[in-house]
Amino acid sequence: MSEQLFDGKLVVGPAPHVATKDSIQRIMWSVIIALVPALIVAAIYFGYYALMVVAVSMISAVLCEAAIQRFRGVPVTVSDGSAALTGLLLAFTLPPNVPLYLPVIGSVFAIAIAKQAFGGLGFNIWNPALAGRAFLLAAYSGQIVMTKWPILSNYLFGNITVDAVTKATPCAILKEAPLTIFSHYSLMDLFIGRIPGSIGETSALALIAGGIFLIVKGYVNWRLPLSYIATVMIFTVFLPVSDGAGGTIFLWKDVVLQGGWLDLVRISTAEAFSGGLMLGAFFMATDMVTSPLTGKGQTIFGVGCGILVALIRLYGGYPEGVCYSILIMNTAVWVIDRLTVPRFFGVKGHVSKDA
Amino acid sequence: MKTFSHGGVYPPEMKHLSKDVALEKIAMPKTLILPVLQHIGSPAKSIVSVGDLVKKGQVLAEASGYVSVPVHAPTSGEVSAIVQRAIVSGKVCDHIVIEADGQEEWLDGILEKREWQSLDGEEIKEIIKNCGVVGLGGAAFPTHVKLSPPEDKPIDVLILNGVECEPYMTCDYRVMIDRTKAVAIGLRIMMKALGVEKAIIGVEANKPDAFEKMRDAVWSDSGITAEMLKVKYPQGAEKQLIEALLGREVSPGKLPFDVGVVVQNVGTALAVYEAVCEGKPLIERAVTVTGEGVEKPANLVVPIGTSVADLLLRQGVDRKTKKLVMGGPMMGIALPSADIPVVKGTSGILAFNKTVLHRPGPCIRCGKCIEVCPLHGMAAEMVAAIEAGQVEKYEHLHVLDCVECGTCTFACPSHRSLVHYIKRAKAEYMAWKSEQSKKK
Amino acid sequence: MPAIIILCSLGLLFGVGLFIASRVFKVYVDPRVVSVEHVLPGANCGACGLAGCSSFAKAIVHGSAEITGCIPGGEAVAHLVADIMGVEAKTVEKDVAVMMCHGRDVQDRFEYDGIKTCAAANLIHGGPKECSVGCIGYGDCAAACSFDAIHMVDGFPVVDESKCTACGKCVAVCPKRLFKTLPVAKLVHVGCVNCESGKLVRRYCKAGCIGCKKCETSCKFDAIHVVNNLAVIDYEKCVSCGICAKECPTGAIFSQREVRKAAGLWPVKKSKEAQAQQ
Repeated sequence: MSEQLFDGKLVVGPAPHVATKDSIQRIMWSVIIALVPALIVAAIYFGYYALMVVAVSMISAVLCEAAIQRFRGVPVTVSDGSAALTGLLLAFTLPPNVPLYLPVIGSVFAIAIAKQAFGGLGFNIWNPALAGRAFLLAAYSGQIVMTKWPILSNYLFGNITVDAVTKATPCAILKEAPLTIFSHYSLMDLFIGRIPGSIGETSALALIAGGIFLIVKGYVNWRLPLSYIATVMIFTVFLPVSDGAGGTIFLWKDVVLQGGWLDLVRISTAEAFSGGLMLGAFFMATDMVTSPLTGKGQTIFGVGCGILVALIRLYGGYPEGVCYSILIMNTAVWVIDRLTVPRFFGVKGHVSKDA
Repeated sequence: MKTFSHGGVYPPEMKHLSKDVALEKIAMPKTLILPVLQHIGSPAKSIVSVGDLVKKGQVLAEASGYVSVPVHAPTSGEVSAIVQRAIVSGKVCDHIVIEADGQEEWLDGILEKREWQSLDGEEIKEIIKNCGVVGLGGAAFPTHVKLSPPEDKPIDVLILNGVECEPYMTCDYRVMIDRTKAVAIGLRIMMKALGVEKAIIGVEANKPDAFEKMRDAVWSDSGITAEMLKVKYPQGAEKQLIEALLGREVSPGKLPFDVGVVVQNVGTALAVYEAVCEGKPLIERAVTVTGEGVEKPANLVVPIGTSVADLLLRQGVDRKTKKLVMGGPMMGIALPSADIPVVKGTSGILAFNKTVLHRPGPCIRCGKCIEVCPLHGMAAEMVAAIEAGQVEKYEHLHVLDCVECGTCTFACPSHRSLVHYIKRAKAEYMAWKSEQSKKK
Repeated sequence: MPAIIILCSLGLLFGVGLFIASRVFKVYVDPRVVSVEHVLPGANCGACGLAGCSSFAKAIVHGSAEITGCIPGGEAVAHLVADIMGVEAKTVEKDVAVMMCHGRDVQDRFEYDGIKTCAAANLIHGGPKECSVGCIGYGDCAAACSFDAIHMVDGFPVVDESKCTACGKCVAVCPKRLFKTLPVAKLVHVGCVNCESGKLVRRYCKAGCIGCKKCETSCKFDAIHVVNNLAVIDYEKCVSCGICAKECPTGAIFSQREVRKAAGLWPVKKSKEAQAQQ
């Protein structure tokens, strides 16, 4: 035996001995940072109360997870940011004047039932934030589903009760009388977020910016939001809709006849910018735990969500369908994963599905 | 620029530490420890006893079987002990310990200058076998066997692997720069042994000078071309190299000769040249000693059997070194101490003075492992089945076809030891399979 | 009103349908299968070699399994099953799992950084312990035991012999193959599997076998020999007198006499049939 070359014992582990700098923490906090633009828009248009809702939601999610993990006797992992992210996303789906006890209840449901009861991070089947929202929708529907929302005049951190103006949300208008959408809101309003809606869903600009940030970082596969949004845009103009006067029309026929293809694209884009589609496509459907493993699978997932959103928006009881479309497709993820097993290197032909 | 089609990761290259240090021969150490199993196949059989005096290049252990090669004495001296020890892979075999006498006396008549063009394929392979040449890229497969594919598998291309995709490693690079002519001649010799007229030399784009030198060395050979490949790990893996250069996919369970190709490392080509043209058996090889824990990183020509401790003392090593790796950081083996001998398959020694301990989290189903796997495997699914102990599913999930390149584990944001699970699963499957056949 | 009528007739229709189906599609099950399954422990441990207790019950009635095949059930269950099947049961000796390593205090030779299971650690240079053939201590055996008979105490497994049913799971799972199932009457065992010379073993394990041969010289029954620096007991000849255990300087050889006496496992009570035979 040679002399001792080193102070202390060597560390021995399996290869590889280098690893990516990525971690769950980095991913979660990157997503939270990507949502900051939307948070700023919410602060500008909905005032400091919206920020309070967000804070309350995030804090209750984090505390709930810490408490449950203590109770379960497992290591407390709230510093990885996943509970904070759930709280943030849940708050973004709530109306800006929601009573403060509702985000608390919603967060607790999201973390305790939709996440920890399944086994914690990585084991849940449904997106916890959306599960929380669906629970609130079912239990407190009066305060969540509103077709008229208060909107603030444009100053930062104002008080929500001053200068409140009630108007119908773009989704509600598109459902009742789609051809009149531009008499209420311009396309620019929809893009920037000068519209009524939930706290985080109004500004397509802020959400697309955050989404692109995540795609460039490699945490979101561009196929999912693209297929989701494109499917919604196509289906909402090619399926028959009501025309606001009791009859049904085909948007692609009537709009093209009256105003041309450009008008059709504008209505289609309005459909994409309204409601929670941008938030859902870039931040909810793309939640890693509850979306398919492969790119092909994510495309199928996006298309499925898109079809469901179109059906709910056009024919369903609610003006907005993003929340339910994603929850329903979450249930199908395991099937999608089975059907999209990649062809192993050197194996010819289709892979059998009996695993 | 050509590359393999699916997956791959980009670990920091870190080759700047040692790439500009030319190959340097070290002084013969006092003690050499030679395992009789330094290759894939059956261990060599020791033919010396304690107390024997041996000369440089003398056979210490002869090949036992077809897939086996002899082990030669790297210097003249005395056999001081023959002990049973475990090699780094865990297998136990005889280790022959030589105390050098300082004379470096070659065995009479062993060094012989030969004209390789006058030898035929079979003669060449016989010399290669008798000189104990194995693949020096890391796998250490007996070269004479690789150059003798089955009759029903015709070969049309020989690929020379100058890729060296592992970070930190620069020994193949220096071999291409400092021994260009010898490598080119070795390549020609191997082509003759195989009976092929076409060869491609693959070099990664981070070695443009090596690429140019190799290309210039073979420009007059009509059948040999040099190709530059995109820098991506694991470009140097056999299957990925064949796919990138020729577009052919080797099926799971099959070998390169099934698609008409044989791949050899540039270090092996050098060893073949020395064996055939000079009669020199494989008793030394290029080894990169590098890492943040090494004071003077270098590319050394090291006698087989030199202790890693000797190399580290020569180049200066940080006392606070936390991890020692034999090989590259992606697939190398972490060593429990420095008292391990350099063997034929050792391409490098890494000393890390900083290491982050694994704190694995749950699988967050991000799919990164699937995105980066060069074989299109689904590591997440494999590990889920392994954790549940579902042995019957392993074959279908291609657990057994994993080459353990480490890209999945590298990319996992949860830092799960995926390759370790798969290694364990392979052992589990073998035990289960033998139990099944016993039941029948 | 029409709704009530419709629902009632639907209920009636389904009830009749189910009744017919239960007759027409009835699968004949030998009633003995149910009785046998009832007396089995129900742990589905697989020691019988079949998939679970119901598979074993079917196999017994079918005739393809031994009456005494249920090892955890032991003699008691073998008798009950024999009664149901109307045959004589052979006596079943209780076996117990014994851990053949006593190296509690062996230090690590390197810091292990990998998956914390014995099977995984064994792949990395045989595990982090100084003794490369001894217990690694991550508890794969305790995790595999379905009878709660193995517990990890300070990183070392301890077998609770009164709970142990010798199902063999620990034997199969230990990557160092340190467990053996042996009859409870065999009291003396060698708690070491290391074949290195005594000087080397002594450096890292106080309880290891050093190959001193004191056991071999003291045994009157020629039942223990030192082979390759390691004492090995020939259980055919061993009568469990315990002399070698007393002579062993390191305590590598041990006797379970007191432990099993206290637990009521030893002396082994003979069954009524065996007593009648005598």
